[in-house]
Amino acid sequence: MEYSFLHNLNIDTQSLLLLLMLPVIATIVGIARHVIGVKSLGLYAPIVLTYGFYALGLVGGKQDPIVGLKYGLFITTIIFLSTVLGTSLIKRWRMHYYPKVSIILSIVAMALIGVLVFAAEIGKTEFSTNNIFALILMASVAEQFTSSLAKNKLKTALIVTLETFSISILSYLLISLESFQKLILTYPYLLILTIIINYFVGRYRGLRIREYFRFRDILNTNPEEE
Amino acid sequence: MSIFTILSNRNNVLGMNQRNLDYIRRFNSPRAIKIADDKLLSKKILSKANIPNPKLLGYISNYKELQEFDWNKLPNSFVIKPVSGLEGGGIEIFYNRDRQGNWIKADGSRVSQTNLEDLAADILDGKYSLHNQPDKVFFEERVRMHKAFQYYAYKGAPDIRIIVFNSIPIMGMVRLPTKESNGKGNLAMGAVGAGIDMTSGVTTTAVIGKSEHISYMPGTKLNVSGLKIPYWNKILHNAVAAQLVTKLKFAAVDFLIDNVQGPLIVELNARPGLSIQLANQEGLKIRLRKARGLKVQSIEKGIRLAKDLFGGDIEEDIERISGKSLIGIYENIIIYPKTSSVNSKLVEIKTKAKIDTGADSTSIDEGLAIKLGYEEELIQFQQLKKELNIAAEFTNTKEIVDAATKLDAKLQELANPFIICSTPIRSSHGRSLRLSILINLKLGDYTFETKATVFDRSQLEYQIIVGRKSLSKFLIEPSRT
Repeated sequence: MEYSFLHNLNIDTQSLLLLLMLPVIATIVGIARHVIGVKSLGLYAPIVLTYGFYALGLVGGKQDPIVGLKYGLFITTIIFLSTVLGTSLIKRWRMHYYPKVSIILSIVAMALIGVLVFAAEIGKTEFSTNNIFALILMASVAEQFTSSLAKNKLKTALIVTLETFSISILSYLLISLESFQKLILTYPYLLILTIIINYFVGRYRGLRIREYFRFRDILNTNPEEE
Repeated sequence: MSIFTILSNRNNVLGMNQRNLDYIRRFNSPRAIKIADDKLLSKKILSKANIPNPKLLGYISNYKELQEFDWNKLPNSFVIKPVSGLEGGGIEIFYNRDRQGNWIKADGSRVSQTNLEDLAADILDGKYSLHNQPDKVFFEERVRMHKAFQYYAYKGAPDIRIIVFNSIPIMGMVRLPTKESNGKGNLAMGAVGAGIDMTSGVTTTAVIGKSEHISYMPGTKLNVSGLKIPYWNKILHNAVAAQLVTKLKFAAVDFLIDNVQGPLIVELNARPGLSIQLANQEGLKIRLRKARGLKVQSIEKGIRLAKDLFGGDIEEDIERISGKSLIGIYENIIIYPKTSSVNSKLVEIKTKAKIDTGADSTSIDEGLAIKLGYEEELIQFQQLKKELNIAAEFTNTKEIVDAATKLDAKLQELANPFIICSTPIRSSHGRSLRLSILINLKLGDYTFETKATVFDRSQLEYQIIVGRKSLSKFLIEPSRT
């Protein structure tokens, strides 16, 4: 298949693709927050989770979104739950922030080792060999979870986490679309478009879609005579 | 739900995007934001400008100071706070101290010195600060709740928030702690947020939690609207003064009202939340737009602008709050015909009435009463007067009272539901006994039954005057036409 000039330079297509998708995912996160009103745990968490899903969905060099979502959501849930468990276990200890996150990361790592052992037991060895960097990156999101749990009530933290998950799922489904991949590889200049989109999102002053719901009662009363 | 209403209202409501870009980032300098974020610094600046705030009792900046801190120097009642706390996190209020030296919280639970040291250490560690940055602890006197809020607040004292922009108070809200919010004024936790009319300082609409509308305080029959915030003008004044002295151009100023000292500023906020719009059922944006670019020379001017620009329709407010209808001195009224009249041709009569608070009761013209179907009652009354030999006029009180008693006894025997009694009247014509009948009329927003004395008013300008006894549902505004 003939893509663009980038193809002729003999760069690995997958690496190229993943790099080209970075601004796309970041743009989605920006739109989600400022236009839709869906919060995420920073920019880092949704990007890392998206790539994590992508790595887990690679089966024999081909992207399978169903596999990616299945494993991806399973792993992120394990990470989130072990963070909640870790946080509640050491809640009573007075500690500095970094050692606290380290302890939680240890608990998360142990949980993931448990998952790998279990996967090996049932014969899914490809899990550990292909995706270990994806798993480590995803595990590092535990820091965002911890900080969110420290500041909010469990319910609020859970909602923000779920919103982060949904942004990642959406981004993942988009970047795993074969037609979208082809489009970006053929016209890498399209990336300039993300800068333009972000310029406008960055200056958007209107109500977020979620705010239309939040303020629906005020929005729905007849305007007063001026 | 109309999409057009929503689209046209969209420009009235302030959203997060615009708040950040057009107001906070544009009008609040990093230096001013730093002052607002540091409660110790803002206290210092407020005190220097003589703007009342709760008295500072002490502070702890680091672990060394924590170890050396003499807890016994604190009074029995105080508040502990993080200097850079968010949304009320880490704040504890102590009301008293028991014999063992434990401090007592509002819910009666006891807190030992060790517990307090733990809390202070948590604060120092940054548990309650933005981005978990290391923080400081400070102590201030506890504000004793003002009596006005006695029935409205559960455990904690309500706080009043005023958003100020360009030296003009823009919008106000009072947060009333509830059982659900566990005595805290945090809306997300289930406190009640009530909007405040800028002119009168009286609460208007209210929400509980983040968005649910309510009319009554939870679990009571107490109307949330109609609560007059004490020291309203002083609150507005100090809010603007605080905004000026901290150089925040767009700020939320939070007050507690002390029973003795009056309003005290407890917090300045450089990033006002948007829920105040829900409590007031009105958008901030439309108000901010009006306030923008105005030259405000003095605090008094700013307050006057706020009252003129953002005060509600006072008449409407008074009516809603008092449940009374506002009327003028001359009102168009409708008098309905006698209800059980056999003559079905009778129609209601529209006429102009004089509202006369100098008159005890309502009085109606004889001719008008006949037109309304009360001829029978008038004839019965005249016959009885004749039978009992009752004079047309009286000279002294005893005579008239005796005559009225006699006449009333006979009137009762008639068992006519439309005849109430005979009423002694003292007028410019002298003293006389008149018939009082039951009439139905519509005045202002109300239709009601009332007693009316009948006599010949054909020579007078108004065929009916409405007196005090019929006006319990009304407020009279003499300048109204």
